[in-house]
Amino acid sequence: MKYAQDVRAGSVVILKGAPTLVTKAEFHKSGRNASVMKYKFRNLVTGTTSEGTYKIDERFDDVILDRTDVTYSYKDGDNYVFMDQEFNQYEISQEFLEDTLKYLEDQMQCQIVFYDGSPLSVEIPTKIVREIVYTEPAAKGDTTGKVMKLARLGTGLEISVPAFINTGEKIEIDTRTDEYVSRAKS
Amino acid sequence: MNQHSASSHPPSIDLFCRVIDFLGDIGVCLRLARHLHRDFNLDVRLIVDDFKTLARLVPTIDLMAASQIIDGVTILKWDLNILHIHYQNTADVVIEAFACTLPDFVIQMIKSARPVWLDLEYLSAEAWVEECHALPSPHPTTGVDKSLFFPGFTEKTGGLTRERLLIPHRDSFLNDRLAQNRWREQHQLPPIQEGTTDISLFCYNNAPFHTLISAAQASTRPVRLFVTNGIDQSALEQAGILNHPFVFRVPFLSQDDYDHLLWTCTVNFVRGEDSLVRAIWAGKPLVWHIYPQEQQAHMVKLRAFLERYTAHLSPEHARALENFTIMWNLRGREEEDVASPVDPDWVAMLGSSPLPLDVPNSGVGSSREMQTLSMNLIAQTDLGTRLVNFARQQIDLERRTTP
Repeated sequence: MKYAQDVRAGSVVILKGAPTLVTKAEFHKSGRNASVMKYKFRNLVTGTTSEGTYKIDERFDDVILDRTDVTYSYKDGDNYVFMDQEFNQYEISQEFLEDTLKYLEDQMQCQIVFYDGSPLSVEIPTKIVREIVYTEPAAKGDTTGKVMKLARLGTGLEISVPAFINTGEKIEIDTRTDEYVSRAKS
Repeated sequence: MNQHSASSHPPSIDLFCRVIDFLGDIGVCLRLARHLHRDFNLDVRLIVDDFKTLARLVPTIDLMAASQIIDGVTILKWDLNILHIHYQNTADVVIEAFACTLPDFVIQMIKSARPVWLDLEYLSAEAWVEECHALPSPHPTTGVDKSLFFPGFTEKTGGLTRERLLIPHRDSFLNDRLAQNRWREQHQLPPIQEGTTDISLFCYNNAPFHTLISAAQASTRPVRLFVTNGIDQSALEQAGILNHPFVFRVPFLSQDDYDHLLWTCTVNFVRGEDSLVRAIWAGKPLVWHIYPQEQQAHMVKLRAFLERYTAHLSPEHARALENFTIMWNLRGREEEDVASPVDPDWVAMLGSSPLPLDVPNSGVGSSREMQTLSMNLIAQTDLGTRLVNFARQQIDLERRTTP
């Protein structure tokens, strides 16, 4: 069993008895409300897609699948090509990678997930380091980390960062929640 | 119950609630249960774990009875032994309020009966709520669709609970000064006085009471403070509030009487969820004390509400109200400072311009801006209507897809 909090893009869970790929995962949290995950799913038997919202402490039956370490190589049409240490290439269709694409960069380390012998999806690390390509200039005086602003990554994804973060700095991000974790140690 | 696959009668409702903190969660659930029964003529069962607390809102409840019907709502004690005897079938709609976690045997019943299954969440003005509201999602272990139902301020959310006769009743009361003063007298409160700012105070114990007292003393208008029963006596004594001649203690009020208090005051300080919604329906300026949480998690939610609440104000006045509300929520938490200055005469600000007192015949005033927010929300359908419509849609869908 896996808590919803740990189910993310690339995970395969059992829903209504069918293996189901999570293609997108969004984390929401506020006030007294329970933290919520919103997913986009693809049923691996029927191919149909759907959406769902769950509290983070909901537990799913996950499917134990074969995985192998790969690096991202290049894009070929609608497919993304990954390579393992033996130089085997694996192509994954864009529609199976929806949420992963916002962090995918050249030579990025990730894991290919296999279902029924075929490469199905890609899982990226839960913590990654990325450079800020643009954010408003840092606010002087605020070092508390409580005042936040938007910052853009190289992939175009925007996330909230503390006001003291500058363009060009590297930060650690939790890819499950798209939340800033800390300044990256240089 | 749960005959929804076999007949087209109005859906029956089970509403499960655990008492967590004073009367907040149970207050919301009791109001919703009554609303669904009275306004939609539905069979409603309210399953509650703490009858003693519920008795404050429902004084006629029999603490020893396992199941009883009060004002048309069946009230069932949430005790596993009792439920095993008295909870034999699910209703057509099962509502789990505020993540109260249903007993395993009830979940097993849901698995076989497949009712409409909702998780009633807390109110939020945040934008993401629209995307997550009422999205039927296969429950991971039962396979039954379950939806998170988010009360909110837009058409794409679950809306706000508003009884069918609430606004006509409010308007009639606000147009009858005699009735207002009669109500006040019945509750040991002084009559309405022209030109006086009457503030109802319902907040958490950590509120910065001293700032309210100081501001009331410094106000250019006479101020009277009506302190409600939900604040601990020790917190009030520590703050020295009760010694001032302009402070009045309000006896414990029923939900209906609390509405009347809000209606007869100029400004309402409210806390939590239920009183916030009632203050919105009162159409008077309000200050919200949001349920405090660690790491200021509640402030995002508060700011989202303020953005909506101040949308009709000028930028200057919106900022003043935001600053004050944020001060009210942060001051008293020792580790926090308030970044923005607070208008020193904020009581006058709340009680007069830019929130003018202009309701004809009432004399106690209401702001045009607050009325605008209230009217905008009144134009939307209420939470009960949305919940019932959603349930009916789901029941119809289930009928069509079940062989």
